[in-house]
Order: sequence, then C-alpha cells, then structure tokens
Amino acid sequence: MSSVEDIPPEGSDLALRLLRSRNTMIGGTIVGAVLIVAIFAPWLAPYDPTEVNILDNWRPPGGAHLLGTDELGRDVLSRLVSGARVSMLVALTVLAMTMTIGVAAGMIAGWYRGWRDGLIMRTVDVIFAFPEVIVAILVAAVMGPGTATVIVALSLVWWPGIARLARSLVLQVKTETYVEAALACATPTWRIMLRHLLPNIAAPLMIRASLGVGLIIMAEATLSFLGIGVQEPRPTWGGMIRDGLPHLRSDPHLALSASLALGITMIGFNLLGDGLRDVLDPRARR
Amino acid sequence: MTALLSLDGVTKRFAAGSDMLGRPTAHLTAVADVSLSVAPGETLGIVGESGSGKSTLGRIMLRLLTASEGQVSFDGRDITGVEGRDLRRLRSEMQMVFQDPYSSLDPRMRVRDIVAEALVNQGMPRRQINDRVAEVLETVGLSPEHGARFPHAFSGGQRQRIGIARALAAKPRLIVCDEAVSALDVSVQAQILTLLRRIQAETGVALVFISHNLGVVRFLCHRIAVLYLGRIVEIGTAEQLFESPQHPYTQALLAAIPEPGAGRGRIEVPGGEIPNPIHPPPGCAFHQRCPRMQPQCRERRPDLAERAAGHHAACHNPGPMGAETDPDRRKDR
Repeated sequence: MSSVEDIPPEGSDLALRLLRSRNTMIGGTIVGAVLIVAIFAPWLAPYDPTEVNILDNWRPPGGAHLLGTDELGRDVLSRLVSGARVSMLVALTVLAMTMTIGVAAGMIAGWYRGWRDGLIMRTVDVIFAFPEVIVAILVAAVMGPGTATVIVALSLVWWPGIARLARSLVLQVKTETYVEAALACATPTWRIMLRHLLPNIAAPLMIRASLGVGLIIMAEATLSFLGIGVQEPRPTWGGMIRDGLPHLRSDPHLALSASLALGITMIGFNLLGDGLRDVLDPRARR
Repeated sequence: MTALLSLDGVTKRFAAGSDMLGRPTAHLTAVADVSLSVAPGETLGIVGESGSGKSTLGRIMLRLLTASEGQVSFDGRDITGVEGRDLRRLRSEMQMVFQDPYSSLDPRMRVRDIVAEALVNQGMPRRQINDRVAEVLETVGLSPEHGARFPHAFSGGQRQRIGIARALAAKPRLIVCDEAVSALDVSVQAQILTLLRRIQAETGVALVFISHNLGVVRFLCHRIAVLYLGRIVEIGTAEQLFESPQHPYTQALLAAIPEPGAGRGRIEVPGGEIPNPIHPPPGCAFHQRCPRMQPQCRERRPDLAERAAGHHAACHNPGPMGAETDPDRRKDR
C-alpha cells in the first residue's frame, strides 16, 4: 500500500497541464486583458466616451486622439474601452443566466425523464426553431430596445443549448454505479444532483461556457448593430461598427477598430475554450 | 431462527419494448417467484450465469428496485412498498458493495466523503462522522490518512476496500455484495474475501454474496442458492450443495470449476446459452440444456422440493451427479 503515498496531491497536476497548454494561456491572457479593460474602463479611457466635440470631429488616428474621433468628435479609443465594459457585462450576465437556467432544466429533464423531460425538451425544440435575431426583435417589440432587452433576448435564445448538453451529460453520469451507491446510502435527490452529478458534468459545461461567451459577445454586437440593443449614448462595439460602416472608405478606423476588438476578444474566448477542452476533457485529448 | 431478511414469492418484470404510446409490448421476467431468507450473521450465496437475475434479486432485497409481485420483509417488517422517509431510514440497515470498483466511487469526491455519505444523510454530527470514517478505513486495512485522497489514487483492490468501508460505515445489519470480487485479480480476490469473512466474524453482519463463481462462494457462504432464468433451482447449505448436488444445473456448474479447488473458471454448461427470458421455454427452464431431460420436463415446471433438511431442488429427476451419463440419450436430443 506504499504506492499510494507516492501519488502527488490532486490539483497540482491540473494546474501544470493548464500552464502547459498554449491555447489556454494565450486565450486566458486575451480574456484577462479584456476583462481588466472592462473593469477599469472609466480610469483607462483618456476622454469621456460620450463627450461631443463637433469642432474636433473626423480626426484620423494619431496625435491627441490615438484612434481618432468620430463624426461627433468623440474619442474612438475611449469608446472602444467603454464598449468592452458593456460587451463583457452583457456577455457575463447572459452567461450566468443561461448556465443557471440551462443546467437546472437539463439536469431535471435528464434525471427525472418522464413528463418533465418531455415538457422541457419540447420547449427547447420550439426555441431552437426560431432564429435568434427574430426572438430578439420579438423581445424588443415587447420591452423596447435597450440593454435589458439584449440580456433577456440572448438568455432566451441561449439556455436551450446548455439544457440539451446538461441533459445528455446527466443521462451518461446517472448510469454510473456511484449514483446507485448514493441512492443506496439514502442520499436525497437534491444532494445527488449537487454533489454527484454537477461536479461530474462541470468540465464539459465550462468548456461550452467559454466557447459560448465569444458567440454571445458577437450576438450582442449584432443586436446593437441592428439598433435593438444597447442604446446611445452608451458606446458598444456593435454600435460603433454600425456607425462606422458608411464611412469605411473615408474613415476606416471607425469600423475597423471596433471590429478588431470584437475579433480579438472572440479569438481569446475560443482559444480558452479549446484549451480547456484539451485539458479537462480526457476523451478529446490526443 | 428468525430471518433478518425474507423474500416470499418475489417476481420482477421489466418492460421490454413499448408501442407508440409508451405502453409495454413485452415483459422480461428477471426474477420469478423467489422465496428465501437470510438469518442474522449468515452468509447466503446467490449463484448463476449472466442473465440469471441475481443482480436484480440483490437490488430487490435492498429496495433499489421494487418487486412486481411478492413480499420482501426485513426484521419481520414488510418493506415491499415503503417509500420516502421510512425507506431512507431503512437504507442505513442495509448496504451494498458493487461489482465495479472504478465506477462505484465518485471520482470527484474524497475517499472520506465517499465513506461518510450514509452518515451525513443520517444527520450524524461532524466529529462523530470523522471518528467513524477513520475507524472503518482501518477496519478495511486502509489508514485514515487515505481519506484525504481521491479514488483515482488507489488500485482496484484498494478501491474495493473503500467500497466495503462505505458499506460498513452506517453499521448495517445486511450487506449485499454484487459480484464484489469478480473485477479483481485472483490474488486480490483472496484478500477481499478474507476481509469480508473477518468483518462478518467481528460485526455479525449478514451477507448476501452474489457471484457467478462457485469457488468464491464456497469459501465464504453458509448457504447457497442457485439461480437459473430468475428461479431458484437449488438451495441448501454449502456442504449439501457441494457434496450432494441434486439439480443437474448445479452439477454442471460444479463440474465447470477448474481443478485444483477454487479457481476463477467461468460457468460453462453444455448445450449453449441461457434461454431468452422474454420467451422462456415451457416446462422446466433448463430442459433444453439438461442431460437428464425427460418428456414431462418439457410440459410441467418442477416445484422446489425438499431433498434433505434445508436442501431443496426444483427438478423432476433429481439425483446425485453422474446419473446422467447415458451417451445415447444425449445424442437423441
């Protein structure tokens, strides 16, 4: 039994593998940087992002305004930095809501089966049948455009995917003998779900979440681009792309700077998700 | 002798296939009309091939499955239909050791939490739980320090010890071991069997030991029931069964044990596979493979009849081993 003593404690191994995974490190760095910018936006932005200065408009990049100014003379860099805040706020709120609702619904469906399964999964099918933009327009028609609309609309569209994943994972895990052993120990259902099922399905859900954030940010930009998202004067990346697009020939920096920020952030989240999958999901390894 | 656990005419049917509205179209009878009892401190072996219904039977005993017919009593109380709070209280009296030492331990839980699970569910105070966990880990030959580790740090045999510690933690009066050693190496099997025997001697717990391996059962069990297609074909003390088996199926099982002594041979019976339990053959379920088959075996199912005190066999033509070696009749079939 001495062989047991030689095995290193849990955790150090995982941390090491995370550090060695290039995707995780690059993606994590990008995501971390964007998060820091989002959190400290008011202090990092050189100007007030909503301050209009007509006399100073259409400035090219360089000089006092590092990324130039837009048609109202607002500083593009400051708007970019503040836009990160809105994007991350929306993305993380939507993520938290969809993970909570989706995981709970999926676990209930997978664990109980029967009518609960039928009800939840048919609802999921119905939502899947609608394109997300249509749902967002419906929500906007009811609630009026705004940040809350974006969050509600995207949560409504995104939880079914999480629910499907959680359900299929629960269906796998619940056949494991340790679940039967827990039942034989008189473990109540809620504790089986929290202590046995959830920890064993967490890794694929985390991978899904980090891959999903990139898509949520993109969807938020799309909605803002269409004008049903976050409203002026709050700067968003989608709104900046929308406003800059007519002037792509004359002032490409307006649309391109926001597009680039969006693209890099999405790449960051996707790399992080891929890296986590390599490290956490043993089946996908190699 | 008052029985700790007794089964009376227990039958379990599963739905096999269903129509568009979810109504079952066929039934699979996994356990049919089984009656037996387990005394306090006794070890009962349940032997049979894969598909004989022995695991189902073990789960019915623990109320992990509910019998379709018949009655299960524990300590003189009918527990066939208990639910909710009563069932949960009952769980601490009876425990299970599972076949697969890998999938039966939650990989995300520390060993001490795995072992403590039943105690936590009982609402035992934390300090008492810690003491009890340390105590049972020592009982099964691990040290309390091992409790801080995760299951992946242990070998198959050690994992099975953890599984036994988990079963022991709540001081149950009955433990069902479902193929508890068949996934282990032979040398480790012997250690685990010795451990189980010692635990029984020390705690007086009753064991139901389910196995396909007669050699293993012989080492551990006081009484043995042989299951074929969900029915008991022979039941008696270990000595009766090994020294004077009455049922041709039992005899075939014994003949399949490789010499010398208790080995790891799988049961092999001439005449092919166990019949389809959805469409069981008429008459005696064993008649298609039986070397002593007579015309009536095809038509009428034999009852479990007493052959000696406490020794029952379900056969129209029971008798000692060797009586069947009539080569001509075997050819006719």
